[in-house]
Amino acid sequence: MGAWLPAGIRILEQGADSAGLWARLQVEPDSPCFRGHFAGQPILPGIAQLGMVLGVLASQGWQRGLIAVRSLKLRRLVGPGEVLELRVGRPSAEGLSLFETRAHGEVVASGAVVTSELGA
Amino acid sequence: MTAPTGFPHPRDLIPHRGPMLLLERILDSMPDGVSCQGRIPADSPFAAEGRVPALVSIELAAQAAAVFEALVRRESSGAAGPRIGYLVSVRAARFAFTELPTGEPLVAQVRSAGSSPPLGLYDVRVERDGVLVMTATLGAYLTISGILGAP
Repeated sequence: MGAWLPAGIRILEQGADSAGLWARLQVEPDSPCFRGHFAGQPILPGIAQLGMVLGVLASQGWQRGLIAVRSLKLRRLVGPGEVLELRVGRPSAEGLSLFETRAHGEVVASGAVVTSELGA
Repeated sequence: MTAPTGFPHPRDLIPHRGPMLLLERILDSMPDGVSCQGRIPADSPFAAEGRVPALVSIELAAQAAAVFEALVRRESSGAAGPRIGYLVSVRAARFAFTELPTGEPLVAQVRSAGSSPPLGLYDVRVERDGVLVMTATLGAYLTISGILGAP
């Protein structure tokens, strides 16, 4: 598990290609992210999308800290048990990465973050 | 339940519970904003070894925005029940730190930056011991019925 990957979210498989990093993530049905969010209507907190970006970067050797979110668009809710497909661009020299999360081919979230090397 | 400040407790205004309820009291309320105190619990799903990524401050601020909307609703219509509100956008967020300790008090300041129901925009700022942690503009979709929260 990469640093900062939210509890109860597991990387099923991951890799890298010319477009950047990719990962398939399982949102466990009993993820602690759903505890109290909300009773009777479990919804993955939107910030988990950012945690997944940091977790996937870390799991592939990019130990990064988030220093800015230029944009984040959350397009639909994510519930327990869903499998997400995340694509993250390798950080540019300025630390900028674009990302997009899909479920069943449908865009769930997208955005642009700026990260820096931890301890830098 | 009434907190010592005379304001309602945040749990009476938003549906977050357990480790996802980050707010513990309302410090101040204005016509266009609110200030709330909270902290990240050690059992947060985002915590590891007593620390969380600073991105969790976005959730804290989003919950404060939900408190603001609940107070406005209570003032205008007397409607007191929490409703779900979904975070739909984050813009221009900047973090002064990459990590935060759990259990330390944080203050979230929220100002309405525009509203076109059911969408609301909020300029937010989170501080720790008077030191800036995060600023951002958040967008939320406010449901007409149901429970309320920040996503």
